[in-house]
Amino acid sequence: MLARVTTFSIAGLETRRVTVEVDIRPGLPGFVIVGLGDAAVREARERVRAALLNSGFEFPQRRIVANLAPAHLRKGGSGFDLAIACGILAASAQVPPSALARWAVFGELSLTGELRGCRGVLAVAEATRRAEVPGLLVPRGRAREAALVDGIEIAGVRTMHEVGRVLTEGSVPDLPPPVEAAGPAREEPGPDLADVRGHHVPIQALRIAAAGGHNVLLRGAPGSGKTMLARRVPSILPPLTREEAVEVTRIQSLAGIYRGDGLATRRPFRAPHHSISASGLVGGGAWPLPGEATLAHHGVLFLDELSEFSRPAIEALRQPLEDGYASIIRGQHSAVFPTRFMLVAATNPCPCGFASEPQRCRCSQADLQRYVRRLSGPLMDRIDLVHTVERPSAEALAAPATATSAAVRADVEAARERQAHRLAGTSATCNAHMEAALVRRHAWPDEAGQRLLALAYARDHISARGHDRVLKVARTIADLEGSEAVAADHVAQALSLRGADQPAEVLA
Amino acid sequence: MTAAALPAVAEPASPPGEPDAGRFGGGEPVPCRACLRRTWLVGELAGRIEHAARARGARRIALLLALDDHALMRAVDAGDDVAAAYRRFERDAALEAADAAGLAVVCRHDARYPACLHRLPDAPAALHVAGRLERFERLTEAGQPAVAIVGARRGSSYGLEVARALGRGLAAADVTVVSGMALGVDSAAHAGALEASGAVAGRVGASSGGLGASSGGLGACAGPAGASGVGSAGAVALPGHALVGAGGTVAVLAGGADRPYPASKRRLYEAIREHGCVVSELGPGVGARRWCFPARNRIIAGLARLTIVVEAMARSGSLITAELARELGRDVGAVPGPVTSPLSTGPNALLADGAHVVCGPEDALDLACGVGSWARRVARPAVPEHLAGLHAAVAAGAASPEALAQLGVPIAAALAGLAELELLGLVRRTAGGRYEATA
Repeated sequence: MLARVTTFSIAGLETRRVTVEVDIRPGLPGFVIVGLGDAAVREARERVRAALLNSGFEFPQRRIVANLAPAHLRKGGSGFDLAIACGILAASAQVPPSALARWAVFGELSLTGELRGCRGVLAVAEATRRAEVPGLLVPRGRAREAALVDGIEIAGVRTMHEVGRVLTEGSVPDLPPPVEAAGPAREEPGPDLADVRGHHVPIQALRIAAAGGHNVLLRGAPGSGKTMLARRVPSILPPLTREEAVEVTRIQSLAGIYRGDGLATRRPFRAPHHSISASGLVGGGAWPLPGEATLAHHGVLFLDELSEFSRPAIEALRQPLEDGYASIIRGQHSAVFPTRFMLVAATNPCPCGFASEPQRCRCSQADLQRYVRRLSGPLMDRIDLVHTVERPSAEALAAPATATSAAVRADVEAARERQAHRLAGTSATCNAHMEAALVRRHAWPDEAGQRLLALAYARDHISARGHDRVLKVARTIADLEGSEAVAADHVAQALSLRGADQPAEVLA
Repeated sequence: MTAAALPAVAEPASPPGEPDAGRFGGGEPVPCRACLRRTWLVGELAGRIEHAARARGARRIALLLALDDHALMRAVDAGDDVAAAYRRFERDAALEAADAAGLAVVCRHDARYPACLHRLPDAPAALHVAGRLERFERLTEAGQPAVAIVGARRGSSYGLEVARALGRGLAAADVTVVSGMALGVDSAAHAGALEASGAVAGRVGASSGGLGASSGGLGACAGPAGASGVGSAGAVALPGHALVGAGGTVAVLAGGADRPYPASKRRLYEAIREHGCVVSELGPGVGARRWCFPARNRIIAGLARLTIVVEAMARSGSLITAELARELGRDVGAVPGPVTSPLSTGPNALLADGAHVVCGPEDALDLACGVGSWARRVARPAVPEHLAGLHAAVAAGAASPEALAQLGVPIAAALAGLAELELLGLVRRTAGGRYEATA
């Protein structure tokens, strides 16, 4: 007898429909799984057999062939366990085969017959809806995650026995209750700007960066507050839209870091250590798996100690920064991972770290120039704002908070709304993503501003690339001030916040 | 050519009909009646002088102009009407007319009359000045170096660019740029000088032939590095900030100083009038005749210690200006050009004759002010008023926007102001991200 089960395989961040066909016929008892499964799939043989037996089902002593179609695609992971088990049940008439027409299945089996959660359930649920299959059987622990997708029926089951009941009787257990936090709110607010003292100008720089989606580099001595400021950037970004929240949740689900309680509400904040490899940063590996850049999609990627990151890792960020996605191409598999994040980087100004405090800096001119040159390259080309963070003075530390995240976020949201309105229908969603034609159309300054910019260009203070960068930032500053026109004042402020295109002149 | 006699000692106003002698330091107010009358006369006789010059050749102009009033009237057959008007000439009326046209008058006896012009054998009796008189004084005072830049009306883009760069570089080094506001090289030189003094940027253009002014846009204060290889000079200012201390430009017109000639150069004229000065030997409203051009060229040569010919065809008037300069004992410079270009015939010939090679403002400065003066003279921009407080704060040690914010400066103002100061070269950003005031 032949049975067909619908399930899905996960490739990168995409799902592919896989039809598990199970054929049982008389012959020497044997159980073979074909279809280019990886080791985990091959091991499913043992898990499925034990699970079925321990659940009170019969394991047919016949020749069983399970084929994961399409046969030319490699498949991996343990999510096929349930499909294979259901296929065997259906092919041996232990459950009605017709039931499998209305249920897709996805899950891992333990030897006891219990279902175990695995990654990517949200994506599978979305795929189920796209494939127009009415229902999805998933492990109970993941049912809530799957239920985020409307339009399909979710059956969260604990054991193979329950699976059998669902398929035979059609009785779908209720969804598990949402996880209520005990004690402090489970969604505790992230770090808030209200914790910051002093740092008036860095907060302004971050306000501008957040408002326009600009990448920003904070320079400063150790302990000056760069990391503290960076960690608060997600709190001043506008809240996730629903589409963004779904994307973020899907990514988290596929990466296995989803906490299983509703759509993500906070923008991701990823802070990889500087020893990370290129594939750790942008994705890779055999399957491939998403990297930190993707995990930071719609959020903030914080690179602390920027100069310590390996060159290959930084180079690997070139495409993600430029295009908003990373395409990883491996033999058979290729994956496209979205990487629209806001980059916040922090670095010391010089090897000893204290260039901003001339009395303490022990670096020579050559040291300083070499250090600045290290930072040049694809990353610096895409950083729109550079600001030096100084240690707050004693008075500043004693003063009340400089700003609150809520207040800054309100400004940011207002500015973002202006941009959304202006850029509706174009490929850009915020000022930082404007390309040359849009910059010409929307960010062109008035005459005084043009002259200022031309002067800076003539003086070699900005390169040709820097020219457009300054305009984008000026546009954001104008938006923050509620001005439709970009004036010389905005251009001047943007110039002040630019990175040096050449290594700056060094203290004698 | 008759040499002018040194003016006699002052005497009260001479009765009509008598040949008047110039007065130095006399009790008479300046501009004196005699000079005003002379100026009026030359303007009145302009047509006849033209006729006479045509009959006897251009060189005769100098001879004619060297004649005193009565001799001149006789030489050109002035007629009784003119003689009568001459006798009736009223100083006050003349001054009112000049004033109505917005011109100031500086006569030979005025202390403000450029000293270098006195050495001309046929020095203009009076100069009508359009523009602020203090500026005229400063641009033409004794210690202020002045360089004349002359050349073809139909200059090539090479010539125009070089002229512009020369004007810019010299003005930035606090040297007065003198020229005739003619089409082509003259206007380019004026425009360059205006750029350096922070005047209208970019839109005031030179043109060759009938082309319009060069477009502004991003070409503004910067301008491409000219063929001379000079980048933007030191003292480029932000729009709206006129620099004190940078040299300016003087335009010597062939006709009256109250109207632009050529008419297409109206905007340049107005800019020069605003930021430099426009002078003429003739009174308001006098139209320019052909003889007026070589005549004013002698003033151009006379005002400058160095005359540079940028481009000139074989028989160009600029070559005559250079010749005049040489006769006055002034330096002559020329810009070499491609031998295949007819416009470089003039300068190349001058060079063969011993003129100094001028490839850029540094060469001109070396000639005008001594070797090595480029570095000494490039003006330090003055601190614009609205940034003075910020600049002082930075100089006193507030080395970053944050420090300025601590002092109470609004963040936007601190950021914008620092950017402006940096562009002006008044502050510098170090590798550590701190700002410091430049020396």
